[in-house]
Formats: sequence, structure tokens, C-alpha cells
Amino acid sequence: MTKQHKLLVKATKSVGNLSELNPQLLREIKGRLKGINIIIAVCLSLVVQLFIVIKHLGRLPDLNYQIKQYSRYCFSYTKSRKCHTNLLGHWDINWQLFWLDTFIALSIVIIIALLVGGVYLLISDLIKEQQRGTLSFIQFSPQSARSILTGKILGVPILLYLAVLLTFPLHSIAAFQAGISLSLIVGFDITVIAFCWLFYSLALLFSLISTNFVGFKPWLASGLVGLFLLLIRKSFYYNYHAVSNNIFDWAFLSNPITILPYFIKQSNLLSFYKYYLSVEHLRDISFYGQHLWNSSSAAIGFILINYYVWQYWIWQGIKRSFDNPNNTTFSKKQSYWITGCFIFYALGFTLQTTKSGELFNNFLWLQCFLLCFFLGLMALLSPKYQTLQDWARYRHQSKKSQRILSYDLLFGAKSPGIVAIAINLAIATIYTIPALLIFDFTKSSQQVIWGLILGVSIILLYGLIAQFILLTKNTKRATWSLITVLALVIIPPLFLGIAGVEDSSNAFLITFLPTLAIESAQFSTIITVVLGQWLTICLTGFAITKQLRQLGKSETTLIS
Amino acid sequence: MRPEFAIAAYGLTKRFDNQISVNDLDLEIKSGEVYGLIGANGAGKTTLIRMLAGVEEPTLGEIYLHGNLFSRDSNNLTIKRRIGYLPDDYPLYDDLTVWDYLDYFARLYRIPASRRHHRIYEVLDLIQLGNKRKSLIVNLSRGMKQRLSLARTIIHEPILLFLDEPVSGLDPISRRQFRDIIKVLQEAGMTILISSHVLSDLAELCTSVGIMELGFLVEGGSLKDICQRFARQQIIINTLGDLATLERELKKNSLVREWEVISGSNRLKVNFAGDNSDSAELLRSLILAGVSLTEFQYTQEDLETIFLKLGHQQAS
Repeated sequence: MTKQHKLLVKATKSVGNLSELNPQLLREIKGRLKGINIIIAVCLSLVVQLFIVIKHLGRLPDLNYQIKQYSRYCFSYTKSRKCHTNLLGHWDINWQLFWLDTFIALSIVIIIALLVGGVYLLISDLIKEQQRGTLSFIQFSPQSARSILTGKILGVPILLYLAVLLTFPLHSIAAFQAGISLSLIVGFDITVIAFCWLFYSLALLFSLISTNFVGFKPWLASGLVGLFLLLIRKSFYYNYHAVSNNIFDWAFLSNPITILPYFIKQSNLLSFYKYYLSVEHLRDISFYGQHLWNSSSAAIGFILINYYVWQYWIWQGIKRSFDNPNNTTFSKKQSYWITGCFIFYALGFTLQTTKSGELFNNFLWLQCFLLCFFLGLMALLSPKYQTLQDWARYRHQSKKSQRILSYDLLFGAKSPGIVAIAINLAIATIYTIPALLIFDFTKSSQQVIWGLILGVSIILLYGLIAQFILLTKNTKRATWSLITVLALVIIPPLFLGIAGVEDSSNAFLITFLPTLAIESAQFSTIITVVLGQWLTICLTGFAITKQLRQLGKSETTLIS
Repeated sequence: MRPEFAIAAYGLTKRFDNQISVNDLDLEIKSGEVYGLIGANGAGKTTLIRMLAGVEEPTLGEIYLHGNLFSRDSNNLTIKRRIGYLPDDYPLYDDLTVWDYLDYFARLYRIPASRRHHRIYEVLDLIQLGNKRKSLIVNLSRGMKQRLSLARTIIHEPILLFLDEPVSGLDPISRRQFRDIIKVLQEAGMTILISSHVLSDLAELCTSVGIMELGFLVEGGSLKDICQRFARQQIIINTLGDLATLERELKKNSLVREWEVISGSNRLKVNFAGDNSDSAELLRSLILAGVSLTEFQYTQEDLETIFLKLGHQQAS
């Protein structure tokens, strides 16, 4: 047996073993790796690579000296900005910079292609399976959600992977010519893989959690991911609002493009990379005072841990939604941990400065992020109408009826999610308050704490209103709930802004950013607003309880 | 729970908003039975099958499969491996070949590589698609696709089979083929729950039946028992001799309920409470009594008539 033959047999065996481990992967490969598809993927990859190389070659000084004289890749210039030539009369070209630019451009194209293409393909594939009805067969096989969906992640974008794999020679040549070390390239590749895994997992969760707007979902998700990456790309190339030293850095740093400045630094082309984001900017960022971005390894380590934490929770949601589509995406118990993780990261990036004015602004941004986070959490913790109806009707008949109501509301899988939201808000508040006491705010810490309390109270109120609408008989209750909450969030500050009311006015106390008006507000006003909010919360809570009781009572009568 | 029941459900209820699809239903099916579920559209058959197969979560009630409590959330892989479920629509992957499709599901159900090939051939033989194994699914006829779906359902050798309207929309030849396959599966010892509108098929296949109406299981039991209890038996007797002699002899048989003379003839329509063998006994007694007969025809109401009679009556 020849050496090649042995290798072939070994490779076939490996593929066989892999398909034994993950049949879904084999199914995807069989369905996708077909002659014409492979040819298209290969051609597309080569064309894109060729385009990138030609684009950069086009930046070199022109053969016709008279037409083009300036080039980014010239080592030095004459007084008239002409490129210097060497003794042989050839252009003196900085090939290292040329390859660095090529490497960076190719890296960004790879990241965008993998993310946008992969997210689109995965969501549309899963939606197709759901619509066709084949997903339920897979769900009832003894394979776990992780096994099936890992097969999907590895197999559905297989042609995309093939196209990206074909860029490996050019990518490697460009990296080595640019003087980038192998360890950093490996670190970057691992980050890209982890980033894709995170976003692909998110894409799967997105397609599993809702059956609304199915045709629009792949476009929406891949469009948002593309937009996010384009913004990041812009920040990277033009150093435009790249580092803001607040919670936005969390989003900014959570992508592999952040690793690219370390490549530039390693290539030692200090005078040539001016329009790229520099490592110096990254060094300003801190997490609980730790400047982790001083070194590439610490930065990569932080990013990977961040990905790991969120992919862990995303997969918990995937597992629940895959095993039973009637489940809420997360259990109430899981939500407490998720809020803990969120506030841990969010506060870490909020407390990046000791300057009181900046700290106060960072705190306002934190409140905005908290609002977005909790609006999302409310959606993910709300059981379906049918589930709530059944819970209201049959809670007393179930074997677990001995279980006390409070336990059910805190941990039950089918009870309304609003008590859990209140607990989550309490977790976020309790974790934030010590920081407000320790750090120096322009306004007194006590006032900022009141701002936080008002903020979380209004979020709770939004949650109650959403829950109230979700319990109505309206067939479009989810849409109405979303519209109402968004209107409550957006319209009051918008109206106040249009009316020319200053943001320090007491009127802002009833918006989602009450902290803006805290400084100028009288203590009695704050207390009045807090009491008013809690009165409304109690009344809405009472209305929801009544609604649930009525639902349960009437239906039980109907049955008997 | 008594493990002799392959499928047992108690107090099973499913509500969709304000509609009760299945209402406080109790069901017990013994191992090896073929249980036919009869009911009009919207009677709750599909919902019941979906709940038993774990596709749908019951609002209330408990399901036991071979004595083990079963629910959709339960991560009991052993139970999952025992179930085969064929829905009324039979979604397939058009981009795969017949072989690849079955191979995919065989792998999903973790059939060892050493047995997989053999098992796929075995199933292909059973569904008579061996010669189509390399064909793309998209190119198969409806009947073939239906059989392939059944092959997918049994590839992992389940012991419980849930078939929801498996022959709907099939031509008589495909229906016959399908029926033969189910008979083979029954002989192999599978417990089968099957719903169908084609009651003649069910009558031929089933050992037990359940009649559903408005979410209730209005009647259930062995086919023989149901027929005895609810099917009217009639005997048409034609005599050359004296009607009075015939009537005198009929009065002697306790299973003869009543009769009427078909006007203008010597024919009688007799309502009979016995089964086929009892009617043979009656025939023998009439011959021994010297009644000269030219016709003796035993008839029984079929499943469809029983269903039409019982379904609406009981539910209302």
C-alpha cells in the first residue's frame, strides 16, 4: 500500500468516525457538498482573493511614473512627494506594509463573510426544517440538542468554510510577509472560531425562540450582524469612536477585529499604520480597573472567557427551546445567573474612570443597557399564553400543587415571569449599589442610588404592563405588548425633548432615565415619584392577579 | 403502573385556548395490539397521537409507555428509542437519496455501524423500495414517499408505533401495500396505534379500536367485543316450505330477537344476537327440523356503521 493510499484510508476513516459521532454533520455535508456548489464556492473564494490582491497592487506606484507618483507603500518620498527609487531604478517599496494591509483586509473580509453568511445560512436552514416539519423527527431522536445543532453549525455553512479555507495560503503568506508571529495568528484564528461559534449559537437560538416573521428572520439577523461588523470595521480603520471607556467597549471588544491592532504593533511599522486603530487606544480600556488590553494574550484570554460565558447561556436556552418549544427560553433560576453575569460585565466596563462627570455619564449608559437587557429578558421569560392559561386553570389540580405559590412564581417553569423579573432587577440593583457608594459621583451617591431605584422600578412597571397585555384575549397580544412597551420607553423622552423640556426637569423622573433629573429634583419630589411608581406597580400587579384568577376560575367551571 | 400495557394514559386532557381537543381521556393498550383510532375530523385523534408520541405536551394527565412515565421534557433516551411516530404529513428531505435518508436516521438512532447496512436493506425490502435506494427522494411517487416515511419510522426497530392517517391520499394498491407492511410489523410484535378514515382497513388490521368524538374516547375495546356489543347481526332466510314452521323453529333459539317477513315472499329478516358460529348452529337446527331453505345469509354491521351510530350518539 502506498503512502498516499494509507493517508486516504486514514482520512476516510476519520470522516467515518466523525459522522458516527455526529450524524447531522454527515447529513449536511451530503446535502451540500455537491460538484456545482463546490465549484461555485471555490471560484467565489478565488475571485475575492484576487480582488483584494489587485486592489492592494493598485496602490503601488504606477509603472507609468508620470501618472501616479504617490503610494502608501513607498518607503520614502522626494520633496515633490514622488516615490524614491533604489540604485537599480526600481521603486523602493515597503512590501511588509503591503502584505500587512492585504492580511488585514483579507481578515476582515473573512470575518464578515463567515458571520453574515453563516448566520443567514443557519437561520434559513433551521426555519426551513421547522416549516417542512422535519425538525420534530430530529428532535425526537435520542441525539442531544448539542449534537444536532453542532452538526448544523459545522455542516450548514460547509461551503462557506471551504471558501474561507481556500484563503489560508494567501492569508498565511500575507501574515508571514508582514512579520506577524505564528502564535498571534493562532490566537486570532481561535478568536475568530470562537466568535463564529458564539454568533452561530445566537442565530440558532434566534430561529428557535419565535415562529413570527420567519421569512424575514435570516435577513434581519444577518443584516444586524453585518451592520455591527461594518461599524466595528469603521472604528478600526479610522479610529472613529473606537474606545469610549464605558459599557460600549464591551460590545466593541467582543470581536476578533480587536486583535488586529496587535498584529500592526508586532509588524513594527510604526510610521505607516496611522489610520489603523492603535494598541495604545486599547490600553486605555479597563475592566474593574484592570488594563487587560496591555498584552495581546490577556486580551485574547478575556475575549475568549467572555465568549465562553455567553455561549454557555445561549446553549442553555437552545437546549430548552429545542427540547420543548413551549418552554420559556430560560428557566427563572437560569435568569438569575444570567443577570448576575450581565451586571458583572456591564459594571466592569462602566467603572473605567474615576472622573466623576464621566462616571455619571457611564452610569446613564449602564441604565440604558439595563433597560435593553431587561426588555429582552422579559420576552425570554414570558411563558406562552396557553401555558399561562393552563397554569392558572390547573395549578391546583397538578401533583405539585402542594408547592407554595411563591416558590412557583420564583422558580416554576409555567408561572408568569414577572416576579422573576423583579428578582433579577433586585440582583442588578444590589450588585450596583456598592459601586455607587464607593465611587465618586458629582451628584451625591445617595441621589444616584435613587436614580437607580427609579430606573429599575420603571423597568418593572414596563414588565407588568407587558405581562398584562400578554394575558389579554387579543390574538396579536405579543405584538401589542412590544409596541406598548416601546412606546412607553420612547415617547415620553421624545415628547419632552420636542417640547424643549430640559433633561434636568422633574418630568424626566418618569422616563426610563430618571437619573438625568435627579440632581435638580427635590427629595420630596423623588419620594413622591417613587411612591407613585410603586402604587402603579401594585395596581398593575393586582390587575394581573385578578386576570389570572378569572382565567383559571372560569375555565375550571367550564370543564366540570 | 401495570407494565403489561404498552401504552397507558390517564386523565389525558389537551386544551388549545378555550377548545378542548382531548378531554379527560383514559386509554390502555396491551403489548402487541394494533389499536385503531376512529373519529371524525377534529375529534382529537391527531392530538391524542401527538401527545402519546411526545410531540405535544398534555395540559393534564399522565402517559405511561411500558410502565414508564413519559413526557416531552423527560430525557429518557430509552423510551425515545422505543417510539416510532409517523405524522399525517410526511416531510422528507428531497435533496437526499432513499439510502442516505435512512442511513441518516439510522445514525441518529445510534444503530451500530456493524448492523446499519443490514438493517437498511431489511427495511428497504419490507417497504419494497430496494431498487429505488439510489433515487433522490424528490423523484419518488406519493405512495413510495409514504412507505419511505414508514421506513424512517421503523428503522430503529421501535416497539411502539404511532401512525397518524398513514394511508390518507393513497391509491388502493398503495393502501394494500401499506396494510401488508403493517401486518408484518404486527407479526414482529410491535404495538401499533393507528388512526385512519379508511375504516375497512382498520377492521382488517386492528385487534382493538377506540372511537373518538369531540375529544372524548366514547367507546373502546377489542374489535370483537365492540362488534358484539354494537353491531347488529341479521340473517336473511328464504324457505320453500311453510313460514309458520320456520317461525316456530326460530322461536326456539334464544339468540333470535325478532324478525319480519319481507312482503310478498317467503323471506324473513331476522335480528340475531349471536356471532358467526351461533348462526351456523341456527342453520344446523333448522335443517335438522326439516325446514327447506333456499337462502341463509348472515350479515353484520361493519365498523363504519358502528362508528356512525356510536360516535355522535355517545358524544352528545
